[in-house]
Amino acid sequence: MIKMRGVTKTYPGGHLALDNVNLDIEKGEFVFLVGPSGSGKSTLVRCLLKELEPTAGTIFVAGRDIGRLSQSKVPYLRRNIGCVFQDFKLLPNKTVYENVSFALEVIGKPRYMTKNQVEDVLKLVGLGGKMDRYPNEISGGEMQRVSIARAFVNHPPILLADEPTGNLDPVTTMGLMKLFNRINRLGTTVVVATHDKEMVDSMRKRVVALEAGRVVRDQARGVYGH
Amino acid sequence: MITSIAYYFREAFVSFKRNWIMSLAAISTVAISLFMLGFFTIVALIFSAKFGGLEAEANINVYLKDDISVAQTNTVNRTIKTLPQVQTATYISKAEALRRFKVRMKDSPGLLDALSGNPLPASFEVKFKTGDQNSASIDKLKASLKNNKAVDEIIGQEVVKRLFAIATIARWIFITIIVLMVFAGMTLIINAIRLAIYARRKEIEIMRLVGASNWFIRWPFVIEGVLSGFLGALAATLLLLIANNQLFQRVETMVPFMAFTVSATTFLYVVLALFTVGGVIGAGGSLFALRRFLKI
Repeated sequence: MIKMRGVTKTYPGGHLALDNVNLDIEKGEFVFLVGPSGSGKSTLVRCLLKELEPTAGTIFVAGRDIGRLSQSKVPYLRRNIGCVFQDFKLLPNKTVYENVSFALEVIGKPRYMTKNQVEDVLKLVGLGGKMDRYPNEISGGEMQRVSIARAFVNHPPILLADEPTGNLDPVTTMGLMKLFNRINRLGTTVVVATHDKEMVDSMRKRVVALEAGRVVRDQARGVYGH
Repeated sequence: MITSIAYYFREAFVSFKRNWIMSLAAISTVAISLFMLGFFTIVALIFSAKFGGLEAEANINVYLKDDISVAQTNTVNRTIKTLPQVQTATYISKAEALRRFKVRMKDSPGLLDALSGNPLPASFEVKFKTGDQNSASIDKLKASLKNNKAVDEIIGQEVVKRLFAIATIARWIFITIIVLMVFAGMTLIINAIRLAIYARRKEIEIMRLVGASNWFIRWPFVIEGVLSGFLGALAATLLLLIANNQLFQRVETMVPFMAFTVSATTFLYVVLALFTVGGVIGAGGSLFALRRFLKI
Protein backbone atom coordinates (compact mmCIF):
# COMPACT_ATOMS: atom_id res chain seq x y z
CA MET A 1 0.00 0.00 0.00
CA ILE A 2 2.82 2.37 0.95
CA LYS A 3 6.37 1.89 -0.31
CA MET A 4 9.22 4.29 0.46
CA ARG A 5 12.60 3.92 -1.19
CA GLY A 6 15.59 5.98 -0.13
CA VAL A 7 13.42 8.88 0.98
CA THR A 8 15.51 11.81 2.19
CA LYS A 9 14.23 15.23 3.17
CA THR A 10 16.50 18.16 3.85
CA TYR A 11 14.77 21.38 4.87
CA PRO A 12 15.98 24.69 3.52
CA GLY A 13 18.69 25.64 5.97
CA GLY A 14 20.19 22.20 5.95
CA HIS A 15 18.27 20.34 8.63
CA LEU A 16 18.11 16.65 7.68
CA ALA A 17 14.66 15.44 8.69
CA LEU A 18 14.52 12.09 6.86
CA ASP A 19 17.66 10.15 6.01
CA ASN A 20 17.36 7.39 3.42
CA VAL A 21 14.10 5.89 4.72
CA ASN A 22 12.98 2.54 3.27
CA LEU A 23 9.60 1.32 4.43
CA ASP A 24 6.89 -1.08 3.24
CA ILE A 25 3.40 -1.04 4.67
CA GLU A 26 0.95 -3.64 3.41
CA LYS A 27 -2.75 -3.24 2.88
CA GLY A 28 -4.72 -3.61 6.09
CA GLU A 29 -1.72 -3.16 8.40
CA PHE A 30 -1.72 -1.15 11.63
CA VAL A 31 1.62 0.58 12.12
CA PHE A 32 2.94 2.81 14.88
CA LEU A 33 5.59 5.30 13.86
CA VAL A 34 7.48 6.16 17.03
CA GLY A 35 10.39 8.33 18.00
CA PRO A 36 11.22 11.45 19.98
CA SER A 37 10.16 14.90 18.83
CA GLY A 38 12.16 15.97 15.81
CA SER A 39 12.88 12.41 14.70
CA GLY A 40 11.05 12.92 11.41
CA LYS A 41 7.60 11.39 12.05
CA SER A 42 5.64 14.43 10.98
CA THR A 43 7.87 15.02 7.97
CA LEU A 44 7.21 11.45 6.85
CA VAL A 45 3.45 11.90 7.20
CA ARG A 46 3.54 15.21 5.30
CA CYS A 47 5.58 13.60 2.52
CA LEU A 48 2.97 10.85 2.18
CA LEU A 49 0.29 13.54 1.73
CA LYS A 50 2.51 15.33 -0.81
CA GLU A 51 2.33 18.37 1.40
CA LEU A 52 6.13 18.24 1.22
CA GLU A 53 8.37 16.98 -1.55
CA PRO A 54 11.22 14.67 -0.52
CA THR A 55 14.68 15.89 -1.53
CA ALA A 56 15.55 12.41 -2.80
CA GLY A 57 13.93 8.99 -3.08
CA THR A 58 10.52 7.79 -4.23
CA ILE A 59 7.23 7.15 -2.49
CA PHE A 60 4.60 4.79 -3.89
CA VAL A 61 1.03 4.91 -2.66
CA ALA A 62 -1.20 2.14 -4.01
CA GLY A 63 1.45 1.40 -6.64
CA ARG A 64 1.72 4.99 -7.87
CA ASP A 65 4.85 7.13 -7.70
CA ILE A 66 3.44 10.24 -6.03
CA GLY A 67 6.55 12.27 -6.87
CA ARG A 68 5.42 12.19 -10.49
CA LEU A 69 1.86 13.23 -9.70
CA SER A 70 0.97 16.60 -11.22
CA GLN A 71 -0.29 19.36 -8.97
CA SER A 72 -3.82 18.98 -10.33
CA LYS A 73 -3.90 15.25 -9.43
CA VAL A 74 -2.85 15.80 -5.82
CA PRO A 75 -6.46 16.18 -4.59
CA TYR A 76 -7.22 12.64 -5.81
CA LEU A 77 -4.24 11.26 -3.86
CA ARG A 78 -5.50 13.00 -0.74
CA ARG A 79 -8.99 11.59 -1.15
CA ASN A 80 -7.44 8.15 -0.69
CA ILE A 81 -5.57 9.14 2.44
CA GLY A 82 -7.58 10.27 5.43
CA CYS A 83 -5.35 12.30 7.68
CA VAL A 84 -5.75 13.18 11.36
CA PHE A 85 -3.63 16.25 11.99
CA GLN A 86 -1.65 17.07 15.08
CA ASP A 87 -3.38 20.46 15.27
CA PHE A 88 -6.77 19.01 14.16
CA LYS A 89 -7.11 21.52 11.30
CA LEU A 90 -10.84 22.01 11.80
CA LEU A 91 -12.61 24.89 10.11
CA PRO A 92 -13.50 27.27 12.95
CA ASN A 93 -16.54 28.71 11.20
CA LYS A 94 -18.17 25.38 10.44
CA THR A 95 -20.04 23.18 12.89
CA VAL A 96 -18.87 19.68 13.84
CA TYR A 97 -21.34 18.24 11.36
CA GLU A 98 -20.26 20.64 8.59
CA ASN A 99 -16.58 19.95 9.21
CA VAL A 100 -17.17 16.26 8.57
CA SER A 101 -19.63 16.61 5.69
CA PHE A 102 -17.15 19.02 4.12
CA ALA A 103 -14.75 16.16 3.36
CA LEU A 104 -17.54 14.55 1.34
CA GLU A 105 -18.67 17.75 -0.33
CA VAL A 106 -15.19 18.44 -1.67
CA ILE A 107 -15.27 15.13 -3.53
CA GLY A 108 -18.56 16.11 -5.11
CA LYS A 109 -21.13 14.28 -3.00
CA PRO A 110 -24.16 16.47 -2.38
CA ARG A 111 -25.21 17.21 1.17
CA TYR A 112 -28.56 15.42 1.18
CA MET A 113 -26.94 12.15 0.09
CA THR A 114 -24.38 12.12 2.86
CA LYS A 115 -26.51 12.86 5.89
CA ASN A 116 -26.58 9.26 7.13
CA GLN A 117 -22.91 8.72 6.38
CA VAL A 118 -21.89 11.78 8.39
CA GLU A 119 -24.18 10.98 11.28
CA ASP A 120 -22.94 7.38 11.40
CA VAL A 121 -19.29 8.36 11.56
CA LEU A 122 -19.99 11.01 14.21
CA LYS A 123 -21.78 8.36 16.30
CA LEU A 124 -18.82 6.04 15.74
CA VAL A 125 -16.49 8.60 17.33
CA GLY A 126 -19.04 9.32 20.06
CA LEU A 127 -20.07 12.81 19.00
CA GLY A 128 -23.63 12.04 17.95
CA GLY A 129 -24.94 14.63 20.41
CA LYS A 130 -22.61 17.50 19.53
CA MET A 131 -23.07 17.78 15.79
CA ASP A 132 -24.22 21.40 15.82
CA ARG A 133 -21.42 22.74 18.04
CA TYR A 134 -18.62 24.87 16.66
CA PRO A 135 -15.00 23.75 17.24
CA ASN A 136 -14.40 26.40 19.91
CA GLU A 137 -17.34 25.03 21.89
CA ILE A 138 -15.93 21.52 22.37
CA SER A 139 -12.93 20.04 24.18
CA GLY A 140 -9.55 19.13 22.69
CA GLY A 141 -10.35 15.43 22.79
CA GLU A 142 -13.63 16.05 21.02
CA MET A 143 -11.91 18.15 18.35
CA GLN A 144 -9.48 15.29 17.85
CA ARG A 145 -12.40 12.94 17.33
CA VAL A 146 -14.02 15.32 14.83
CA SER A 147 -10.72 15.29 12.98
CA ILE A 148 -10.77 11.47 12.96
CA ALA A 149 -14.38 11.40 11.81
CA ARG A 150 -13.53 13.74 8.94
CA ALA A 151 -10.50 11.66 7.95
CA PHE A 152 -12.53 8.47 7.95
CA VAL A 153 -15.93 9.55 6.67
CA ASN A 154 -15.34 8.57 3.04
CA HIS A 155 -13.69 5.30 4.06
CA PRO A 156 -10.29 5.94 2.54
CA PRO A 157 -7.98 2.93 2.07
CA ILE A 158 -5.32 4.64 4.18
CA LEU A 159 -5.69 6.54 7.46
CA LEU A 160 -2.73 8.61 8.69
CA ALA A 161 -2.66 10.10 12.18
CA ASP A 162 -0.01 12.53 13.34
CA GLU A 163 0.22 12.62 17.16
CA PRO A 164 -3.50 12.02 17.53
CA THR A 165 -3.28 11.79 21.31
CA GLY A 166 -0.97 14.76 21.78
CA ASN A 167 -2.59 16.41 24.79
CA LEU A 168 -5.27 13.92 25.74
CA ASP A 169 -5.80 12.15 29.04
CA PRO A 170 -5.18 8.36 29.22
CA VAL A 171 -8.86 7.41 29.18
CA THR A 172 -9.59 9.44 26.07
CA THR A 173 -6.42 8.08 24.51
CA MET A 174 -7.52 4.49 25.02
CA GLY A 175 -10.92 5.33 23.54
CA LEU A 176 -9.24 6.75 20.46
CA MET A 177 -7.02 3.70 20.10
CA LYS A 178 -10.03 1.42 20.20
CA LEU A 179 -11.52 3.59 17.50
CA PHE A 180 -8.42 3.26 15.30
CA ASN A 181 -8.46 -0.49 15.88
CA ARG A 182 -12.09 -0.68 14.79
CA ILE A 183 -11.34 1.36 11.67
CA ASN A 184 -8.38 -0.91 10.94
CA ARG A 185 -10.58 -4.01 11.20
CA LEU A 186 -12.89 -2.51 8.58
CA GLY A 187 -9.95 -2.98 6.16
CA THR A 188 -8.25 0.42 6.33
CA THR A 189 -4.48 0.64 6.52
CA VAL A 190 -3.72 2.72 9.63
CA VAL A 191 -0.47 4.56 10.33
CA VAL A 192 -0.19 6.37 13.67
CA ALA A 193 2.77 8.62 14.44
CA THR A 194 3.15 9.04 18.18
CA HIS A 195 5.48 9.27 21.15
CA ASP A 196 2.90 7.91 23.57
CA LYS A 197 4.75 4.92 25.06
CA GLU A 198 1.87 3.43 27.03
CA MET A 199 -0.44 3.42 24.08
CA VAL A 200 2.06 1.68 21.82
CA ASP A 201 2.97 -0.88 24.45
CA SER A 202 -0.64 -1.79 25.17
CA MET A 203 -1.65 -2.22 21.52
CA ARG A 204 1.06 -4.67 20.44
CA LYS A 205 1.11 -3.63 16.81
CA ARG A 206 3.93 -3.25 14.30
CA VAL A 207 6.32 -0.52 15.48
CA VAL A 208 8.64 1.46 13.23
CA ALA A 209 11.06 3.56 15.26
CA LEU A 210 12.67 6.69 13.83
CA GLU A 211 15.68 8.47 15.24
CA ALA A 212 17.24 11.53 13.65
CA GLY A 213 15.42 10.72 10.42
CA ARG A 214 16.56 7.09 10.18
CA VAL A 215 14.55 3.90 10.69
CA VAL A 216 16.34 2.30 13.64
CA ARG A 217 13.90 -0.51 14.39
CA ASP A 218 11.01 -2.24 12.60
CA GLN A 219 9.29 -4.81 14.77
CA ALA A 220 6.07 -6.77 14.36
CA ARG A 221 3.93 -6.77 17.55
CA GLY A 222 6.48 -4.44 19.09
CA VAL A 223 6.77 -2.06 21.99
CA TYR A 224 7.85 1.57 22.14
CA GLY A 225 11.38 0.80 23.25
CA HIS A 226 13.68 1.90 25.93
CA MET B 1 -22.78 19.29 -11.50
CA ILE B 2 -25.88 21.23 -10.51
CA THR B 3 -25.36 20.29 -6.89
CA SER B 4 -21.77 21.58 -7.14
CA ILE B 5 -22.98 24.89 -8.52
CA ALA B 6 -25.51 25.10 -5.70
CA TYR B 7 -22.67 24.34 -3.30
CA TYR B 8 -20.49 27.12 -4.75
CA PHE B 9 -23.23 29.71 -4.39
CA ARG B 10 -24.26 28.58 -0.93
CA GLU B 11 -20.62 28.56 0.18
CA ALA B 12 -20.04 32.02 -1.29
CA PHE B 13 -23.08 33.53 0.44
CA VAL B 14 -22.45 31.80 3.77
CA SER B 15 -18.82 32.90 3.91
CA PHE B 16 -19.84 36.36 2.76
CA LYS B 17 -22.16 36.57 5.75
CA ARG B 18 -19.78 34.98 8.24
CA ASN B 19 -16.85 37.16 7.21
CA TRP B 20 -18.97 40.26 6.85
CA ILE B 21 -16.36 42.68 8.23
CA MET B 22 -13.89 41.63 5.57
CA SER B 23 -16.65 41.66 2.97
CA LEU B 24 -17.63 45.16 4.04
CA ALA B 25 -14.01 46.32 3.79
CA ALA B 26 -13.76 44.94 0.26
CA ILE B 27 -17.11 46.43 -0.76
CA SER B 28 -16.29 49.91 0.52
CA THR B 29 -12.94 49.86 -1.28
CA VAL B 30 -14.68 48.83 -4.49
CA ALA B 31 -17.40 51.44 -3.93
CA ILE B 32 -14.97 54.31 -3.36
CA SER B 33 -12.70 53.36 -6.25
CA LEU B 34 -15.61 52.91 -8.64
CA PHE B 35 -17.26 56.12 -7.49
CA MET B 36 -14.07 58.09 -8.21
CA LEU B 37 -13.80 56.40 -11.56
CA GLY B 38 -17.44 57.06 -12.42
CA PHE B 39 -17.30 60.67 -11.22
CA PHE B 40 -14.23 61.40 -13.27
CA THR B 41 -15.61 59.64 -16.32
CA ILE B 42 -18.71 61.81 -16.16
CA VAL B 43 -16.65 64.98 -15.77
CA ALA B 44 -14.51 63.86 -18.70
CA LEU B 45 -17.63 63.18 -20.78
CA ILE B 46 -19.02 66.64 -19.99
CA PHE B 47 -15.80 68.37 -21.03
CA SER B 48 -15.42 66.17 -24.06
CA ALA B 49 -18.95 67.13 -25.13
CA LYS B 50 -18.01 70.81 -24.72
CA PHE B 51 -14.85 70.42 -26.77
CA GLY B 52 -16.70 68.36 -29.34
CA GLY B 53 -19.13 71.29 -29.72
CA LEU B 54 -16.31 73.78 -30.17
CA GLU B 55 -14.64 71.57 -32.72
CA ALA B 56 -17.81 71.25 -34.74
CA GLU B 57 -18.22 75.04 -34.73
CA ALA B 58 -14.65 75.63 -35.77
CA ASN B 59 -14.66 76.20 -39.50
CA ILE B 60 -12.17 77.34 -42.02
CA ASN B 61 -12.74 79.97 -44.67
CA VAL B 62 -11.28 79.65 -48.14
CA TYR B 63 -11.33 83.17 -49.62
CA LEU B 64 -11.54 83.58 -53.37
CA LYS B 65 -10.12 86.26 -55.61
CA ASP B 66 -12.57 88.83 -56.93
CA ASP B 67 -12.28 88.51 -60.67
CA ILE B 68 -12.78 84.78 -61.23
CA SER B 69 -15.20 82.89 -63.44
CA VAL B 70 -18.06 80.63 -62.32
CA ALA B 71 -16.12 77.67 -63.73
CA GLN B 72 -13.14 78.52 -61.53
CA THR B 73 -15.43 78.78 -58.49
CA ASN B 74 -16.89 75.38 -59.33
CA THR B 75 -13.40 73.87 -59.59
CA VAL B 76 -12.55 75.12 -56.11
CA ASN B 77 -15.84 73.75 -54.80
CA ARG B 78 -15.14 70.33 -56.35
CA THR B 79 -11.55 70.25 -55.07
CA ILE B 80 -12.69 70.93 -51.53
CA LYS B 81 -15.56 68.44 -51.64
CA THR B 82 -13.44 65.57 -53.00
CA LEU B 83 -11.36 65.66 -49.80
CA PRO B 84 -12.63 62.73 -47.69
CA GLN B 85 -12.22 64.73 -44.47
CA VAL B 86 -14.64 67.46 -45.51
CA GLN B 87 -18.20 67.36 -44.19
CA THR B 88 -19.62 70.48 -45.86
CA ALA B 89 -18.37 73.36 -47.95
CA THR B 90 -20.81 76.28 -48.09
CA TYR B 91 -20.42 78.98 -50.75
CA ILE B 92 -20.67 82.53 -49.45
CA SER B 93 -21.06 84.95 -52.32
CA LYS B 94 -19.78 88.54 -52.20
CA ALA B 95 -23.37 89.76 -51.71
CA GLU B 96 -24.00 87.28 -48.91
CA ALA B 97 -20.73 88.26 -47.23
CA LEU B 98 -21.77 91.92 -47.33
CA ARG B 99 -25.22 91.10 -45.94
CA ARG B 100 -23.67 89.19 -43.01
CA PHE B 101 -21.22 92.03 -42.44
CA LYS B 102 -24.07 94.53 -42.35
CA VAL B 103 -25.95 92.41 -39.83
CA ARG B 104 -22.89 92.24 -37.65
CA MET B 105 -22.20 95.98 -37.93
CA LYS B 106 -25.77 97.29 -37.71
CA ASP B 107 -24.92 99.22 -34.54
CA SER B 108 -22.44 101.42 -36.34
CA PRO B 109 -24.16 102.57 -39.54
CA GLY B 110 -21.56 105.29 -40.23
CA LEU B 111 -19.01 102.63 -40.98
CA LEU B 112 -21.16 101.15 -43.71
CA ASP B 113 -21.59 104.49 -45.45
CA ALA B 114 -17.85 104.76 -45.80
CA LEU B 115 -17.83 101.63 -47.92
CA SER B 116 -17.81 102.18 -51.64
CA GLY B 117 -18.96 99.15 -53.58
CA ASN B 118 -18.34 95.72 -52.02
CA PRO B 119 -14.79 95.12 -50.81
CA LEU B 120 -15.62 91.73 -49.25
CA PRO B 121 -14.43 88.57 -51.05
CA ALA B 122 -16.51 85.49 -51.79
CA SER B 123 -15.53 82.41 -49.82
CA PHE B 124 -16.17 78.76 -48.97
CA GLU B 125 -16.93 77.81 -45.34
CA VAL B 126 -15.42 74.37 -44.78
CA LYS B 127 -16.43 72.01 -41.99
CA PHE B 128 -14.58 68.77 -41.32
CA LYS B 129 -16.12 65.46 -40.34
CA THR B 130 -16.00 64.39 -36.68
CA GLY B 131 -12.78 62.51 -36.16
CA ASP B 132 -11.09 64.52 -38.88
CA GLN B 133 -11.16 67.80 -37.02
CA ASN B 134 -7.42 68.10 -36.70
CA SER B 135 -4.51 70.03 -38.15
CA ALA B 136 -3.69 67.22 -40.57
CA SER B 137 -7.00 67.89 -42.35
CA ILE B 138 -6.18 71.60 -42.55
CA ASP B 139 -2.81 70.76 -44.07
CA LYS B 140 -4.48 68.50 -46.64
CA LEU B 141 -6.94 71.24 -47.56
CA LYS B 142 -4.11 73.73 -47.99
CA ALA B 143 -2.10 71.30 -50.10
CA SER B 144 -4.97 70.57 -52.44
CA LEU B 145 -5.62 74.28 -53.09
CA LYS B 146 -2.01 75.38 -53.23
CA ASN B 147 -1.79 75.67 -57.02
CA ASN B 148 -5.29 76.98 -57.55
CA LYS B 149 -5.07 80.54 -58.89
CA ALA B 150 -8.64 81.36 -57.86
CA VAL B 151 -7.85 81.01 -54.14
CA ASP B 152 -6.69 84.14 -52.38
CA GLU B 153 -6.21 83.06 -48.79
CA ILE B 154 -7.14 80.33 -46.30
CA ILE B 155 -8.08 81.98 -43.03
CA GLY B 156 -8.80 80.66 -39.60
CA GLN B 157 -6.18 77.97 -39.79
CA GLU B 158 -3.92 79.06 -36.92
CA VAL B 159 -6.73 79.56 -34.42
CA VAL B 160 -8.44 76.35 -35.45
CA LYS B 161 -5.17 74.44 -35.37
CA ARG B 162 -4.50 75.61 -31.82
CA LEU B 163 -8.02 74.65 -30.79
CA PHE B 164 -7.57 71.18 -32.22
CA ALA B 165 -4.23 70.81 -30.43
CA ILE B 166 -5.77 71.82 -27.09
CA ALA B 167 -8.63 69.37 -27.57
CA THR B 168 -6.17 66.56 -28.33
CA ILE B 169 -4.03 67.32 -25.28
CA ALA B 170 -7.11 67.55 -23.04
CA ARG B 171 -8.33 64.20 -24.33
CA TRP B 172 -5.01 62.54 -23.59
CA ILE B 173 -4.88 64.03 -20.11
CA PHE B 174 -8.35 62.66 -19.41
CA ILE B 175 -7.47 59.23 -20.77
CA THR B 176 -4.24 59.14 -18.73
CA ILE B 177 -6.04 60.12 -15.53
CA ILE B 178 -8.76 57.52 -16.10
CA VAL B 179 -6.20 54.78 -16.80
CA LEU B 180 -4.28 55.75 -13.66
CA MET B 181 -7.49 55.70 -11.63
CA VAL B 182 -8.44 52.27 -12.95
CA PHE B 183 -4.98 51.03 -12.01
CA ALA B 184 -5.03 52.60 -8.53
CA GLY B 185 -8.55 51.29 -7.92
CA MET B 186 -7.56 47.80 -9.04
CA THR B 187 -4.57 47.76 -6.70
CA LEU B 188 -6.74 48.85 -3.78
CA ILE B 189 -9.45 46.34 -4.54
CA ILE B 190 -7.05 43.43 -5.04
CA ASN B 191 -5.39 44.33 -1.77
CA ALA B 192 -8.70 44.31 0.07
CA ILE B 193 -9.60 40.93 -1.44
CA ARG B 194 -6.16 39.59 -0.59
CA LEU B 195 -6.65 40.63 3.03
CA ALA B 196 -10.02 38.88 3.10
CA ILE B 197 -8.49 35.74 1.62
CA TYR B 198 -5.43 35.94 3.86
CA ALA B 199 -7.75 35.88 6.85
CA ARG B 200 -9.02 32.56 5.54
CA ARG B 201 -5.74 30.94 4.45
CA LYS B 202 -6.14 28.20 7.10
CA GLU B 203 -9.47 27.27 5.59
CA ILE B 204 -7.93 27.04 2.13
CA GLU B 205 -5.05 24.93 3.42
CA ILE B 206 -7.51 22.53 5.06
CA MET B 207 -9.56 22.32 1.89
CA ARG B 208 -6.40 21.37 0.00
CA LEU B 209 -5.45 18.78 2.59
CA VAL B 210 -8.78 16.99 2.59
CA GLY B 211 -8.61 16.66 -1.18
CA ALA B 212 -10.52 19.62 -2.64
CA SER B 213 -9.52 20.39 -6.22
CA ASN B 214 -8.29 23.89 -7.02
CA TRP B 215 -11.40 24.94 -8.91
CA PHE B 216 -13.59 23.60 -6.14
CA ILE B 217 -11.79 26.03 -3.82
CA ARG B 218 -11.76 28.88 -6.31
CA TRP B 219 -15.41 29.04 -7.35
CA PRO B 220 -16.91 30.24 -4.06
CA PHE B 221 -14.19 32.90 -3.78
CA VAL B 222 -14.79 34.03 -7.35
CA ILE B 223 -18.54 34.25 -6.76
CA GLU B 224 -17.91 36.14 -3.54
CA GLY B 225 -15.55 38.49 -5.41
CA VAL B 226 -18.15 39.19 -8.09
CA LEU B 227 -20.77 39.75 -5.39
CA SER B 228 -18.48 42.26 -3.61
CA GLY B 229 -17.78 43.92 -6.95
CA PHE B 230 -21.48 44.27 -7.75
CA LEU B 231 -22.41 45.54 -4.30
CA GLY B 232 -19.53 48.02 -4.51
CA ALA B 233 -20.73 49.15 -7.93
CA LEU B 234 -24.26 49.53 -6.52
CA ALA B 235 -22.97 51.77 -3.71
CA ALA B 236 -20.88 53.74 -6.21
CA THR B 237 -23.98 54.22 -8.38
CA LEU B 238 -25.94 55.60 -5.45
CA LEU B 239 -23.09 58.00 -4.63
CA LEU B 240 -22.96 59.05 -8.29
CA LEU B 241 -26.71 59.69 -8.34
CA ILE B 242 -26.33 61.90 -5.29
CA ALA B 243 -23.38 63.70 -6.90
CA ASN B 244 -25.38 64.11 -10.09
CA ASN B 245 -28.39 65.60 -8.31
CA GLN B 246 -26.56 67.67 -5.71
CA LEU B 247 -23.54 68.84 -7.64
CA PHE B 248 -23.78 68.73 -11.41
CA GLN B 249 -27.36 69.86 -11.67
CA ARG B 250 -26.76 72.64 -9.16
CA VAL B 251 -23.73 73.82 -11.10
CA GLU B 252 -25.87 73.85 -14.20
CA THR B 253 -28.49 76.05 -12.56
CA MET B 254 -25.77 78.46 -11.52
CA VAL B 255 -24.11 78.53 -14.92
CA PRO B 256 -27.12 78.11 -17.20
CA PHE B 257 -25.41 78.57 -20.55
CA MET B 258 -23.06 75.62 -19.91
CA ALA B 259 -24.44 72.11 -20.12
CA PHE B 260 -23.10 70.48 -16.99
CA THR B 261 -25.02 67.22 -16.93
CA VAL B 262 -24.95 64.04 -18.94
CA SER B 263 -28.00 62.42 -20.47
CA ALA B 264 -29.76 59.57 -18.66
CA THR B 265 -28.54 57.15 -21.33
CA THR B 266 -24.92 58.17 -20.84
CA PHE B 267 -25.35 57.85 -17.10
CA LEU B 268 -26.74 54.35 -17.59
CA TYR B 269 -23.75 53.41 -19.73
CA VAL B 270 -21.37 54.68 -17.05
CA VAL B 271 -23.23 52.64 -14.43
CA LEU B 272 -23.12 49.53 -16.64
CA ALA B 273 -19.40 50.05 -17.11
CA LEU B 274 -18.93 50.35 -13.33
CA PHE B 275 -20.79 47.07 -12.74
CA THR B 276 -18.70 45.35 -15.40
CA VAL B 277 -15.45 46.71 -14.00
CA GLY B 278 -16.55 45.82 -10.44
CA GLY B 279 -17.48 42.26 -11.36
CA VAL B 280 -14.37 41.62 -13.43
CA ILE B 281 -12.05 43.08 -10.81
CA GLY B 282 -13.83 41.13 -8.06
CA ALA B 283 -13.43 37.83 -9.90
CA GLY B 284 -9.93 38.57 -11.20
CA GLY B 285 -8.77 39.90 -7.84
CA SER B 286 -9.99 36.75 -6.08
CA LEU B 287 -8.23 34.48 -8.57
CA PHE B 288 -5.06 36.56 -8.36
CA ALA B 289 -5.06 36.67 -4.57
CA LEU B 290 -5.78 32.92 -4.28
CA ARG B 291 -2.83 31.85 -6.44
CA ARG B 292 -0.35 31.88 -3.60
CA PHE B 293 -2.50 29.84 -1.25
CA LEU B 294 -3.22 27.00 -3.68
CA LYS B 295 0.36 25.81 -3.92
CA ILE B 296 0.23 23.48 -0.88
